[in-house]
Amino acid sequence: MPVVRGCTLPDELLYDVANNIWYRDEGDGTLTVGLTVVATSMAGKLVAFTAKKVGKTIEAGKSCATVESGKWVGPAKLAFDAEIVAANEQLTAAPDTANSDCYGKGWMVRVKPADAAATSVLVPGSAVAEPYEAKMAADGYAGCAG
Amino acid sequence: MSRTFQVIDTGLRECRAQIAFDQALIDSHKAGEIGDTIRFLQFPPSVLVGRHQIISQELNLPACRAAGVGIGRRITGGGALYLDEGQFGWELVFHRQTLALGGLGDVATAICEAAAEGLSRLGIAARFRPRNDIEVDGRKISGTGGFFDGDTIFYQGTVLLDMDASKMAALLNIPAAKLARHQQDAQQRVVSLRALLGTATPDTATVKNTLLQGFADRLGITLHAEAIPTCVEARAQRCFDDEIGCDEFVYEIDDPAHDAEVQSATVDTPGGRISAHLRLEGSLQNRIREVVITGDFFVTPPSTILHLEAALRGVLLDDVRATVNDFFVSNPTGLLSAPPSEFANAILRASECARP
Repeated sequence: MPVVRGCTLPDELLYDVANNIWYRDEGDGTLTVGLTVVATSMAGKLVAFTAKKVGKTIEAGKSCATVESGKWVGPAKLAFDAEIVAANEQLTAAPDTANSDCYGKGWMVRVKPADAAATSVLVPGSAVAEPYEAKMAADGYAGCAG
Repeated sequence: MSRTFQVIDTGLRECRAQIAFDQALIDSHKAGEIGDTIRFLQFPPSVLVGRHQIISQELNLPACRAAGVGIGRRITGGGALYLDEGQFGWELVFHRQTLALGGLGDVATAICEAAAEGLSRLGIAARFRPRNDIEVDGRKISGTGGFFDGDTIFYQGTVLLDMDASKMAALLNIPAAKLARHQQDAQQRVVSLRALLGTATPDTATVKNTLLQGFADRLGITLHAEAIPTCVEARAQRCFDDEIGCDEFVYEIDDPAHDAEVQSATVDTPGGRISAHLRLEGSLQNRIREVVITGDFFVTPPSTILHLEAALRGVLLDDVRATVNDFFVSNPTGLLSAPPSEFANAILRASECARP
């Protein structure tokens, strides 16, 4: 499993490095989406999570959900056009689940891409270390706490 | 990186239009259409909820509709507000590398301290109170909040030039409003420039310019006034039409069946009675949105209680005892007639009233 500046990045996942989002291919035409530990580490303890409504189609680069921590709100953006087919109500109820288990119980939404080939823009976990290191260096990000 | 900000003023606009302009500023900045910007804005009588708030829990919606005030949802977090021409908003939108301030907490601190410095030049003792208040003797004169999208940072706040507490009390479901409706607790949690300076209160333009001086001096930026960019106006109209102006967005998070009442409880101690008036938030209702603490206990300085209330905002109920204890350890008092544990008891007892 790649670990970049103390941040774990499971290699079975796919990544949108620029937006700090992970995707997991569920094998049925849908992908589960969540925040990487880089995102949750930078944001701090989440106090609110609101997903866009199930059934809504989100354009590439637009927000599928917003998160809030310590009076800061930020968007979680999708890398491609997709329909939201499920939202994690457990995360809505307990937003800090994203801090404690961002790759498991802290998933945000499940989406169905408008074009299955669009997921080719994502970086597989096996190749994510280098681009993430470059992003952290460009952002001046020291890394995740140990 | 250039540290020059353009300054624009969208004046008085309907509340949803002002919030749509917020989103448009962020989108335009991300697209490289505009540079770093400071914006001023004002609202006609309006109520605003924070991005993730349950609207019917925070607002007395029937009263709001009867009063004909604007009803909107911010893109930033935090709590419900009543705004009218007695206040103005200020906002900074900039590339995170412009000020190179580090994490979001550092950004909030730097901007709030700069705003406090500016306001202090008006002759008031304005101070930054973490996480994001600007206060004078414990009473809030400016609330703030931020939004980030990639490298674009957006941070906004208000300045209370004047304030109609009765309007707030009628329209918002917040502890301070409940107390005001019942004419309890003369000390208000917020304060206006008018209350502090009386007839010496400067006009709005002077306050804005002084605030700008604070930003310029403390953040090390240069400022120049500009006209409102037409590209932002066009984006703002689209944001309004597509999302922010729509009831679907404003009422997106709602639960009318949820108990909207402020919950109160009282504990009697040898050192006096302590009452806690509590609003919880979150779908599990396990986090403090706001608490107001009243009673006939003694504490010096009196502002200690206001700072305690601020420290409790956003705290999980499971963490109340530790937070209260840590607060009094970190904030030694001259006189405290009741032990810290009793303040925690009052709050937790109030929370038990809220649970089904």
